[in-house]
Amino acid sequence: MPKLVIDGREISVPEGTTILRAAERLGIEIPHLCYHPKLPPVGLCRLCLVEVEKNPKLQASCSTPVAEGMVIHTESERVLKARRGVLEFLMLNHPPDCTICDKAGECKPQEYVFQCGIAESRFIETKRVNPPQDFGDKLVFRVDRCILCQRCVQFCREIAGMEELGVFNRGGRSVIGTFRGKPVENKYSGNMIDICPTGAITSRDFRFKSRVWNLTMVPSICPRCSNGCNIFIEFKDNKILRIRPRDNEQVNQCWICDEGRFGHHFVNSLDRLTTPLIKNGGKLSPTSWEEALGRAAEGLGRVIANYGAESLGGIGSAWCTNEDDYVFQKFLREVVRTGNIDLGKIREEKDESYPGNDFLIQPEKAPNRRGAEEMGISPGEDCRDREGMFKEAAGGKIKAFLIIGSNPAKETGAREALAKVEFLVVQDLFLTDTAKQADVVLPAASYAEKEGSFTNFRGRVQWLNRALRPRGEARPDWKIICELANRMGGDFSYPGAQEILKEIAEKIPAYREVSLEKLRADGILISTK
Amino acid sequence: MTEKIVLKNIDIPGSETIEVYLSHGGYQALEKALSGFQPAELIEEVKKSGLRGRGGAGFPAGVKWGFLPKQTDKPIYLVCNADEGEPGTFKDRYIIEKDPHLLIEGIIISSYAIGAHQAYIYIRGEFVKGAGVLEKAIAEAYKKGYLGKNILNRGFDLDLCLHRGAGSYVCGEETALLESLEGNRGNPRLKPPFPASVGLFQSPTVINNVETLANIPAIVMKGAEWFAGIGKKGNTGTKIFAVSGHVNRPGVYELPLGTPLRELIYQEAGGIPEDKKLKAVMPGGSSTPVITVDEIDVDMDFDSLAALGTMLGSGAVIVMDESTCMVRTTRRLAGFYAHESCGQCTPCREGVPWMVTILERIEKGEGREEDPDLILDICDNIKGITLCPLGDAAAMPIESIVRKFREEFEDHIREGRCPSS
Ligand SMILES: Cc1cc2nc3c(=O)[nH]c(=O)nc-3n(C[C@H](O)[C@H](O)[C@H](O)COP(=O)(O)O)c2cc1C
Ligand code: SF4
Ligand code: SF4
Ligand code: FES
Repeated sequence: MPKLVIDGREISVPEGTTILRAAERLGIEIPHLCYHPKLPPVGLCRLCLVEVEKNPKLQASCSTPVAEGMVIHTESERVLKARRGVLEFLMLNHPPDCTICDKAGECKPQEYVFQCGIAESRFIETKRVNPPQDFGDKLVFRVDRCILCQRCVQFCREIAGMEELGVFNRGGRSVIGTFRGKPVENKYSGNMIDICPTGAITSRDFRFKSRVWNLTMVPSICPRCSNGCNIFIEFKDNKILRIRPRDNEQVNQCWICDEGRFGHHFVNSLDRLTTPLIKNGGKLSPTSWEEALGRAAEGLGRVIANYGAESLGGIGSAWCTNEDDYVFQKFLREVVRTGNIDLGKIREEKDESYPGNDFLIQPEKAPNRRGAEEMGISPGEDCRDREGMFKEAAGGKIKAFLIIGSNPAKETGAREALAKVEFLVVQDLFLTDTAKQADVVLPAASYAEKEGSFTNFRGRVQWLNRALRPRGEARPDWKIICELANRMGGDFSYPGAQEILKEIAEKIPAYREVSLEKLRADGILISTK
Repeated sequence: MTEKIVLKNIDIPGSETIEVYLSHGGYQALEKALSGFQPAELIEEVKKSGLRGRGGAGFPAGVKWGFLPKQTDKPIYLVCNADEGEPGTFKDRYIIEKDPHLLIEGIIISSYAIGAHQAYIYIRGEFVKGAGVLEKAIAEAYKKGYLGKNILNRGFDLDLCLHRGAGSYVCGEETALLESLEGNRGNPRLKPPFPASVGLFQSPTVINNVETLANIPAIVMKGAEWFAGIGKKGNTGTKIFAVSGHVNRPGVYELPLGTPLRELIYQEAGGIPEDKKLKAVMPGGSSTPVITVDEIDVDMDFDSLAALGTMLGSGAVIVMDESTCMVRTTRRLAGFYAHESCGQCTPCREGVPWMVTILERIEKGEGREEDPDLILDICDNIKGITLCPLGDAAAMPIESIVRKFREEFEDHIREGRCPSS
């Protein structure tokens, strides 16, 4: 472990550590632009130069490894002069358009120029105009704001595994562009919005929606597939405006896929259910929770009374949290006393011909299949699975369904089967084909509007925090089930999802180690399977 | 007249053919090297000769060879830098066009010394004639068994491949050259690692200039001591000076290192036409700081020029007489470097074109009083800060001209035009 001195402070770091990283450990941030911890150092921007005693030349701290006995200065006269020089160069041809730039507040050069206190420009010449480049419909590229750090080029090559961007021309005419003007198509392209240190690459989806400092960030988990990437939900006025990756070395490092980043609009959708609905004379119409829950309890109770508990089936959801599914199956097993429980069908999708590095996206297009199963969303002994239930419904043996967060009406056979049952209760975000056939439709809260946990495909249990107030009168699924259970003779009195998590830890052996603290940190890998 | 080493054959008719080369003692050094020397002994010999690189930096060749890893699983490569892109430089092309076998023999011996079995010559794209000559010479050498398998029955194999560049100045910088040779865009690489450990195709590589390698056969034939006796201590051997600009006899002159600049200009190159006064000299190519008429009593060698704050560079002596407008010269220089900048790193990409626009303004009569200082500060913000030395190569001469000919810039600015036109 080489020992060295940075700005008068001694530190030992492992062999091969760069000066920049060693300084970081001392809490010293050496300004840098082209360097990114997940990309190989390229030494292009020249902003990170530091003075190493006995070395006549300033050294690029991003790419110079430490050596025993080095004495380094990160704020000496010479270093500051060089740093100001590089920043001045970078700003020569950069438009002074921070007021209308989406990156303002998160822009690295903006921050560094501010720190250095460069107020006046010595550049009186006309700014360079390089030809505009089109990156396709996810990313907006502004060539004039680009500082040619090549992070984006490196990202495509090293992380996304698709060389879609390159530097064209040379010298001052260099521009970043796509080959033959093709749009950027890799499935992880949105990460370039984050790693671009300037407003050269911005999000077509988010741009001009808000100044970033007016957003509130809440840590959560992406619901788009079973990888469980860690995200921040960033919102304003109870509306999600953007999703950004949250660091978790165990799951997604600092990346997310484009589906996860841009696929949040369903939460804000105007089509969301906002009130409970009940069917009167073949037509669904809005009603109060009181009436809807009463109708649901009464309808389900009547079927149980007339045909027995085994005439009722429940379909749980891989889109719901562990807490939702746990309460759901507990209600069916302990209150209704049926084991006809199974999971709604999950869309699976694997793009075999994808040429890039598909390093996050899982084929299971739901966040919590594994958790749902482990919560007990599976048929009890001698009980029906999903297909069995629909078959028996078609045959007239199953008379009622409680379906949360899935849409079996899209499946062949299921639609007809559902049409036959006497009573159907559906909890969902939307008026799906299944919901349309229901007698009672209960509006559920989305992942962004509730607390709870997801278990990713590898068995990592992670916590979602509530970011938004539920849309309209929507409620978390577990809460709806509790209300229903209590109306049907149960005693489900959880104050919140956290208490359900405690019960899961007590009741389900694989989950005995889980605790809110651990889940809120990096999550926890459950012990079995 | 002093003994010539690298240009000794160029006036012989047919010097580019293997027959003529052989009849003047060609390939005997190779015989001697393969039969009489272990590779390590050759490296020692070159170290002892004091031969310094002729491509620009003047780094001792034997020391550079000694940087190669002693143990490696990877192939070792020798690359001959024949890019000759430095403005004012036209020395390597004489060797290439007139005495290609001298270069090839130097390459074979050097490859043997460093353990390379594959060598490349990276030749400037514009050298169409030279490439043809070399191509033919390489074929002849293969035919005679100087290249290929089991050379001279000594169990040494070497392949030599000629690669033509596409006309980019920066590809003369050794790491950009390696990128280009690998088939990539010729951008300089971040160092370290240095080519001696990670070079061509990620393998240990030695890169030497044409003239450097062309000195090797003579060192082998006549010995390190003989070579070290030519020139000056620490600056041994001869050097080809490519003299251009305002002289009566522009051309190449092979003279011992340490030859006085005055002698080179006024005797060898025949002085300045129309007996005009000398104004400035770039002693080692367009990248080297200028020296003024008051400074020309300097010896043309690495150390003497360094002591004067400039460089021997490639040995291209650009002579400017009193009629030369230094503002225009500077603008032309800056324009060249702006055009040739690869654009990877900030100071060179942004700073050099900025200087061009300032200089254009001054030339057009729109200069401001603060411009000379601004240019000096821009140079200061480029020098030593860039990824590769091209940034320095642009800033150093510009800075020296603005410093040493400052009044000329001020006159331009004050008068709003070029006072000498
Ligand atoms: C911008 C730039 C251009 C260069 N062009 C050449 C060139 O054309 N020929 C050459 O031999 N060396 C050139 N060099 C120097 C090489 O990088 C390298 O130092 C040299 O080839 C090493 O050979 P030597 O040690 O035999 O001198 C250039 C360097 C720079 C920075
Ligand atoms: S677009 Fe952004 S990330 Fe890419 S080179 Fe330009 S500034 Fe860097
Ligand atoms: S100094 Fe110029 S040529 Fe060298 S890497 Fe930087 S931009 Fe490219
Ligand atoms: S961060 Fe080191 S050169 Fe860019």
